[in-house]
Order: sequence, then C-alpha cells, then structure tokens
Amino acid sequence: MTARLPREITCRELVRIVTEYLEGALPLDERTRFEQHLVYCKGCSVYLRQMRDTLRATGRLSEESVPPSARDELLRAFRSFHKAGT
Amino acid sequence: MIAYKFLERGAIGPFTKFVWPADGRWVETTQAREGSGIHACHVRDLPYWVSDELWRVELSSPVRERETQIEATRGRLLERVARWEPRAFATACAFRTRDLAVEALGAAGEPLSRIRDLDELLAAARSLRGLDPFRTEMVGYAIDAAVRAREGHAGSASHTAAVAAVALRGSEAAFQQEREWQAGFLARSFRIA
Amino acid sequence: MHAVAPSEIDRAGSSVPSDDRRVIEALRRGDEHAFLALVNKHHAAMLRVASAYVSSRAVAEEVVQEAWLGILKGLASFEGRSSLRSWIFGILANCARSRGVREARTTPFSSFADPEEDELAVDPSRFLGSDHPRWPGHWAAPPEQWADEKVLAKQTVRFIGEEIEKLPPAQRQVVTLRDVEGWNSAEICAALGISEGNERVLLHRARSRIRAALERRLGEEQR
Repeated sequence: MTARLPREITCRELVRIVTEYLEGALPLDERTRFEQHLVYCKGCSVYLRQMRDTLRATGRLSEESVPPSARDELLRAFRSFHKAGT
Repeated sequence: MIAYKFLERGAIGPFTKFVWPADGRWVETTQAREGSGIHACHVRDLPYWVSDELWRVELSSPVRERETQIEATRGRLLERVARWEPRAFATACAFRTRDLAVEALGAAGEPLSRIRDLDELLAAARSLRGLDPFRTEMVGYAIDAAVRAREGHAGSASHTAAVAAVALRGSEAAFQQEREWQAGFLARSFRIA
Repeated sequence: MHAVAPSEIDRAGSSVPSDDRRVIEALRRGDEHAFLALVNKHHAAMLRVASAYVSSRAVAEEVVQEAWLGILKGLASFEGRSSLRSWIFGILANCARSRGVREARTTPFSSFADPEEDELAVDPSRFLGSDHPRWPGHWAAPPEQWADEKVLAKQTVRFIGEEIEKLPPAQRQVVTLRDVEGWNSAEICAALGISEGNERVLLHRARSRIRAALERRLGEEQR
C-alpha cells in the first residue's frame, strides 16, 4: 500500500525492501526515502537494527567440519595422488 | 562548503555506522557507487535528518546537490552544535501540532490552546469527547506528537507535525511549509548560522 | 586521510592470491596438513552447494568427496587464473550437476525457481490497516530493541543454526553462503546457477524468517 504522501514509504513497504537496502541494491531515490523514513519512525529503526543483529549473530555460526571417515578417505586419496608423482 | 550533519551519539553515521573522527581529520570515500559519498545538508533540510548530535561540517568540492542532501567525496567535522537538543525541538513540534488541532477544533479547542506542559496536553486532548472524524484525526495527531515528544523522539514528532499540516490544509504543499517552519525554528533556537 | 567503509555489511569472502599460491605449493609438496585444512575450510559450503543439486544429504556428501578427487587430479595443471576457491567450487558444481542429472532429479532447480506465493516478512496484523485515519501501513505493534547480551549469547547463535535447518532448502542454501560463509552475491549466483534477483528474494525470505523466530524467542525469554 502506498503512503498518503506520495514521496513516502510505509512501514509495511520498508519491511519488504529491507534486504535490498542492506545489500545496497536500492536505487538512490528509494534509498533516500528509506533513510528518511528511519528518521521519523522508531519502529522501523528498531526493525532494521534487529535485522542487523540477526546478521551479526548468524555470522558467528561456525559450520560443521568433515566427518572422520570422509576425512580419512580423502587423506588416502591425497597420499596416493602424491605418491603417483602428480 | 560549510554544511550540517546529524550523527548518532558518539559521532556515528546513522546509516553507515561509520565513526567520524572528532579531531577534524579529513575523511574520503572510495566512491564505489552513486550515493556512497559523504552526506550532509543545508539548514533548510535539517528537519529531515534529526538525530542525537548536530555538527557543522566542511565538504570539499566537487559537491552534488540532491533534493534534501548534499553529497561530496571529502569532508570533515568542524564543530559540534552544542545547543542542539532533540527534546526541545520535539516539544516545539508537539505544540505546533496542538496549534493545528486547535485551529481545526474552533471553540472546542479552547481547553488545549493555553497548555504549556506536555503531560497536561495529553490529558486534556485524551479527554475530549464527541468530535467528528476530522477533528478526532487532528486531535489524534496532537496526541501522537506529544507522546513522541515525551519520548524525546524529534524525528517522529516533527514528522507528525508536518503530516498534521497536510491533513488540516488539505494540500501536500503544507508538508513542505511546515518543514520550512521547522528549519527556521532550528536555525533560531540552536544558533545555527 | 582516511577511507570510509562502504555502506553496508560487507564480508570479505574471496581468497587472497598469495595465500592461494602458498596453499597450492604446499599441496603439490604433499603437505597433508595443508590439504586437510583446505578440506575443512570449504567442507560446509561445499555440502551446501552440493545439496542444492541432489536429492539427499548422503548423496551430497558423496558428491563432495568426488569433487575433491577431481580437484586433486587437476591440481598439477591449475594455473591460478581464477581464485582457488572459485576453481574448487566450479569443479564441485560440475560434479553436483551431473550427479543431479544422473539421479534424473526432476526438481533440482524448482526450489530456486521464481517463487509463486508471496511470503510476508512480518505478520500483517503488526501493521495498521489502510483504513487507519492517521497512519495507514505503519506499525501497530512496533518491534522492541534486543539487548546486546542477548544478541551475542551462544544460545542465540545456536538457535539461529536450528532455524536455518528448518528453512526451505533454497533459502537455507543462500543464507548460509551469504551470512554464515560470507560469500558475495555474485559468487553465490555463480555457484548455484541462479539470478541475482532470485538470490535476493531467497535471502530476504530466509533473513525475515530467522528474525521473526528470534523475535518470538527473545520475547518469550522476557516473560
């Protein structure tokens, strides 16, 4: 839904384009409208902050490492390749 | 060029979260893409960007003029506008919104018109009864602005005043006019050149 | 003079050419530690990418193993024109793709195809309706700021890991490569064979779901 003032976005719209904003994919005029909205809307400032917090926490996930059997298999392959003089 | 810039507490850019060097060192952007430079604004655009701290800044040419901002590749902080107080601005905007509501209410607005305290304003506005939808809307804005001013949230209080002006005057031009009033208020109250 | 960091969260994902050279030389010398370090470094992401093409986790693991054999075979002739990582994932994607074809998997890319239904990031009841006199489309129940300690807590990170596992596969793939592994969009699109627009939609949905789950969880803890 569009805001009543044509140059403004609603909170509903902001939530929809927040990823484009964070990824730097919004065209300049939309980005300006987005940032102006943040100045007058505490709810959306908090929402954006929550998105950033989510990314911060997600970045701290360290993923699983190689299971031992797979690792041993690869090591065997590596040794035989190296021995073969490649 | 001398311009102004609002920053979050600690001289932090509100959108980039960049920490500005307070010692006035020049900062340069790598200009990766359009809009990725340093932003500041003229006095007339200050109401759109309010935040915790107000700084006077210097931008070096070339400077790009955009609708409510100026963009440059190099800039530095000159000095903090110490008198800037978001809460005072928010309160002024709340009473402006009250004035707009009073205009809409006519005689029924009398109880609100002389109030000088936000809590009193809220109590009085909330106790009004039997208003038609338009007047209810106008009083609604006054209440919203007062609540936001009590929280010290200048961005939303000032925006509410501008939206209320549009509702009262029935034209979008009123938004810009209210923002102009706000810019004048900022310049006068906080001794911005 | 002092450079400004670019606007948004920008994770360095690519490998440095001198590091690549060092690793290649170590591998050619038969250095097992270097090899295992490389395998460990990319294991999780390789599984993610492989999973996008094949039907099961077990098959994805086989594909990753196969890819490593291909990588070892090609090591002698790798010229370093691309980064080591791009080269590794190029081989992996080829293995995964042909295995996917062999499995005659009819829907390898359907989870990446343009999603039909609109997935809403936030429940519509959180916003005021178009009939609201003053603030149509604005927050009815605005979100509340999370405490920093909660955000950085180990349980939060673990919770997010669990939520990622619950995501639809395509969303899981994209959010892991972007936000866990730190790949940029171009690298993800190349590895998964999807468009930038597609990648962004998937990323948006994944992040929105995780944020919403985190909001529910942190809200519950408060009570």
